[in-house]
Amino acid sequence: MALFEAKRLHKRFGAHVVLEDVSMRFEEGRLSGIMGPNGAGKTTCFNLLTGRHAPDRGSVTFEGRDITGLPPRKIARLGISRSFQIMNLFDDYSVLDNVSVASPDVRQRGFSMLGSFGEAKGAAEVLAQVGLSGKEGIRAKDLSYGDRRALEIGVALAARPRLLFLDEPTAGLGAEGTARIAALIAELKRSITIVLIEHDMKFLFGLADHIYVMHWGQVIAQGAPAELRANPWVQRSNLGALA
Amino acid sequence: MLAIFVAFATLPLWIKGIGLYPYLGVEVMIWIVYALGFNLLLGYAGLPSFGHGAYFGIGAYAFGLAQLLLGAGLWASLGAALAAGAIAGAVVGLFISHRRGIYYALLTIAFGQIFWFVAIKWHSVTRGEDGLLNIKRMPADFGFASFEIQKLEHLYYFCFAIFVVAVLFLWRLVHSPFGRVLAAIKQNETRARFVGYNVWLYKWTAFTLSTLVAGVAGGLFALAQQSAYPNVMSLHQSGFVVMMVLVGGGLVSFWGPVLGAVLFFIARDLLGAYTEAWLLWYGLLFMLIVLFKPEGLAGMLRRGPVRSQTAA
Amino acid sequence: MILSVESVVKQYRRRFKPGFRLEASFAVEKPSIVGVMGPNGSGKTTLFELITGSNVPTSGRVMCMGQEVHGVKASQRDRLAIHYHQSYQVRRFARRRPDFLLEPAKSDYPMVHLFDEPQFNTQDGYIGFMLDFFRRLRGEGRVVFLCLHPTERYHLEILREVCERFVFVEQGRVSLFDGLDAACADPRVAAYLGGGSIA
Repeated sequence: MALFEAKRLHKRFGAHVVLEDVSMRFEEGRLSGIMGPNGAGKTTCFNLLTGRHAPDRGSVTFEGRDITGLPPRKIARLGISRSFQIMNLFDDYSVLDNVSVASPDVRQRGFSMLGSFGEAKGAAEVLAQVGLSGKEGIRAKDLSYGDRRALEIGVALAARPRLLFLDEPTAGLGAEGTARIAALIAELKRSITIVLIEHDMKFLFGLADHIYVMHWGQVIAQGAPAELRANPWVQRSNLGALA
Repeated sequence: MLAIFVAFATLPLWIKGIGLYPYLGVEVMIWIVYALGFNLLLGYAGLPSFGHGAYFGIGAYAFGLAQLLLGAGLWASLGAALAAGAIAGAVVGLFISHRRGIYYALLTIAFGQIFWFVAIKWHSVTRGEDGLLNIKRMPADFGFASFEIQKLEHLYYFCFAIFVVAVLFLWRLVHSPFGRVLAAIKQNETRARFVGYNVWLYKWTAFTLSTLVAGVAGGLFALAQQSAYPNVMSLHQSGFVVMMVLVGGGLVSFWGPVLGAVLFFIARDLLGAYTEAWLLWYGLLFMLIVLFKPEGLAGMLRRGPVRSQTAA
Repeated sequence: MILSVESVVKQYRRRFKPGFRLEASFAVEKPSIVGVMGPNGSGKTTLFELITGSNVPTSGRVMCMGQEVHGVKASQRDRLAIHYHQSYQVRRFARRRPDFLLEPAKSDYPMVHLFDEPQFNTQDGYIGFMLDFFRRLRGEGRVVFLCLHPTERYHLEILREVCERFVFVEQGRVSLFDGLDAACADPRVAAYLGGGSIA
């Protein structure tokens, strides 16, 4: 049984169908990638999988449990976390507060009037993981772009997810920043199941175990990187030239 | 905080010296409580409520009606004011807590106007535009001892006691995990949802707590004024509290509303002595601050550390 | 029978005089990939619009999976046929009667997929994925129309590789061929492809 499975999802916004008959399976312990041109429906697909929108048809299951149409907070509490392509941080809070507020430790005492918010359990490890140790006190909005990208992943990790969705974590980064994120994801991959939307094919083909190619709001191809690369048209393209 | 408590504790001793009068101190404290409660919503949760006068008024009416119709004592009347503010807010909160920004503001105005309209038209209960008159200042009964608060000075210290409790309560609240989560929701509601917070419930709770405080302030107001009337529920009176909070700098500091309320009453009494149009000048000040210094007076006084760090 | 275009005529008028006229009559019985070619302005897009129901024919009818497309609720016509223009799906529907008088679609998933000049780029590798996708749709029992105005050599390669039938549209006339070679044997098609100087 796959850890997470979406079956025949369909979504329409007004007269516009944004997803048509999309099915995906994410196996435990693997890194799955989603690629596709702009407007292919990748982010919409993430939004459906993480509860931002409910599908018009189709089902989503996590560990065999039907989670179709659940709101984001309930999906998050089951152990599914996500990052955003357009950064979504608590901008006026420090790096440490960003990670603390996202942790289940603080969330469980969220309605408490006593005590203080403090440093959540595990916050230091998360910051060490994403390479932000020593920057705990800096406000999120004062960080460098690369550090903000790392914190974006850190906030998602703070929830201690079993399944992590990352929406274009390298968007806007240069070669150095991309390499940092790639190293981080390669490390995370050893302990968490990850689903990754990515534009940078070299990046994705190097990391993913299984890739879904989206276009026109549908999955037009899928397979292991080697399988996808075997296609003669892919061989002729720049993608075929990737080692 | 100590400085403020000391200033208000000793206020009756020096206020005449600067040409003002002790009753002003009562009024200022009441409005500070009201503004601090309001700032929980605007400054900490980022929710613009422009019809908050309604809950202040409901508190005032509840205080008056509990005394006049039910013969309740001081504590029960004040409890009625608190409960009425909270219940009205809890019900309205059900309808507005899924909104934000301008839609939130418009809905709060709409509900505020409904309450105001009811206060004017429901003559048999609220006595229409005249309001409830002859509200008495009952003795404060502590069981073992009872204090008269008829005299202004005694009334002043009774209000001061409530003021201290309310300020301590709100101070604790904004520094508790609840207050800090609320501020996180203000910064990024979407992200808060995606890390598992029940954003709706937080917003609803913040609104209800804020109207509860407004209800208490309204109850004190009825006690001090010895009457309750619909004027305080009107849209422009609701605007006063917004101005106090923004001018004072409630968006960057817990104490902003205190500054704002003090300044408002000083402006009213000092400018008011020279010109009928003092509100125009105060309004201009408000405009200038919103345009050029959105952090308000507190933001001007404070250089360097901002709330997120000092409060951590 | 998946799709039949039965004596469909679309007559446009310009200042009360007859203008552009499109006539089409053909059928696609079984799942297949159909290439669509023709000069710009010949009526390819109009033909696609008539099949999806976003344009109303002057006479004749379009049948899809046994239902007349224009008799199906506009909101459900995309369950019969969908039209992708370059990278986006086009879903505007014309109707003569309100939706509640029309019948619901009997299919849950679109049976006819019309791709209007998808952007093929040999550099990014997506061509291979797209062609596999077309084949998969056919394998699932659907009909794929691939409209391409060949301007590059590899466009013809693509058509030859995946399409088993061809529709040629010129000046509002629609003809159907089995295979690219049969199509090229037609002097009009040969002239069209030769004119582009790529064949």
